[in-house]
Amino acid sequence: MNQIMVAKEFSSIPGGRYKTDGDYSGEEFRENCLLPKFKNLKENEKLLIILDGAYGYPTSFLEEAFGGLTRIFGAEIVLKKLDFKSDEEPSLIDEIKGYIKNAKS
Amino acid sequence: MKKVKNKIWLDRHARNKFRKELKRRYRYDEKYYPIYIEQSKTTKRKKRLQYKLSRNKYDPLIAPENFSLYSNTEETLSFFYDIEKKFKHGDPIYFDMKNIKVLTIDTIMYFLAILKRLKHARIEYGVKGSIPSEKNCKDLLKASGFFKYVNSGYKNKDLSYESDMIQISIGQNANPYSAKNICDFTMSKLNLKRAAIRSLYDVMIELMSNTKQHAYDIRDTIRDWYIFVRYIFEKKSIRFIFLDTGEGIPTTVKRTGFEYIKSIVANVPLIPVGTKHTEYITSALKGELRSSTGELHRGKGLPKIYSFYKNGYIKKLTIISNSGYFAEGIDNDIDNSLNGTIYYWEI
Repeated sequence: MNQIMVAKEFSSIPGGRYKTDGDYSGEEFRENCLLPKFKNLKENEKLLIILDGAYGYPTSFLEEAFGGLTRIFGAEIVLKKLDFKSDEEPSLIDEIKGYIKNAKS
Repeated sequence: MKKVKNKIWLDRHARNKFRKELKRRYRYDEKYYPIYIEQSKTTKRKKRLQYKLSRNKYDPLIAPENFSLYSNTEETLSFFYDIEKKFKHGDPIYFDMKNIKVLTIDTIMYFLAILKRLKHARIEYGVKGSIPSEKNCKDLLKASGFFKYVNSGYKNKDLSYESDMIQISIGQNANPYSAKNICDFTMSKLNLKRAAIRSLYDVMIELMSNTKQHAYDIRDTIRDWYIFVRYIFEKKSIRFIFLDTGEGIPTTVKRTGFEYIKSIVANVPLIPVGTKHTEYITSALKGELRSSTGELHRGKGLPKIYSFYKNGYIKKLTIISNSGYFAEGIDNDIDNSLNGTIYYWEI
């Protein structure tokens, strides 16, 4: 199954919004991890994002990563193709879905 | 082909050379001054500083007994205002801290920030000082890391996790490594698991990002944040202080048209209108579309921090920014203004 373990494949210490803000930004995650895998998804395939194992997920990181993806592909497609898993902080999933639904260009 | 210099060229060259020489003499040699040439403010200030430093003439400035921006905001800010005024005037100062009975790190951070700003602006200044005679204050000053940033004979204590604090650290970017260190420190002191400090990590990165993106003017070359963390053994809690010396929340938030008119009118003396700075801070915390970028998906950091405060994850959230003072039960502005924003909270 297509999946991204953020803490292992990207970093356990996510940073701010843009690359210019510092290391491990949401923009960097979207461009280097999320976007390549998302683009390679076939018609009925889904991408599972595993959020456990990190120190935390700053609001601006999440908004830029997932909201930014929505600003490219639209909320409907992103919500349809992404699945989330967070045993450590289940409320994070709703938070991310909120950013996807409210993302505006 | 060799250029032939005729008489006209030679005359003109001689005339220009003579003018230049005259100008040089008038400028640097007082006996050739035919008229009084007004010196610039910078030159005057430089000369005054050099004169006073050469004669070891330092103006004493006695720090308030309660030297704390947190608990004695007005007096401490007014003291800093005096320091800056003296520096800008070219007066070397003797910073007398002997009588300090209460000292908090926010004050030291703010003082370091002022010194750095002056240094960066290439404003020369002369400052000497004494350390507090009170043992607690002296120890705190030494342990804070203050002497890392100033020339002194004192040595810093080592930063280690056995210590009860993380010394003042300075940064410009959203630094995940610093945030991680602070979270590790919190986990070890309060015996928490990683899941319990996720929100703290969020707060740290949001404050750093806000500083990078919104706090400073676009032309400002200094974009520093300062952070200090201390474990309070008696209360089994950890206190965090975060400072930036940017424009301040009330200055950088997006204002409504009505507020903008009110702020213009408020500058006219004797007309007591205008939105209070504390109201701007509260409004930014509540997420009332205050992002300076005006973009709908931005400006979510402060509301998130406020939600952590509201649900009890962080306690005693206090924010001082410009004349705004946000704390529980306080919604009045202070008389003096802080250049930047200080956040205090406890876990």
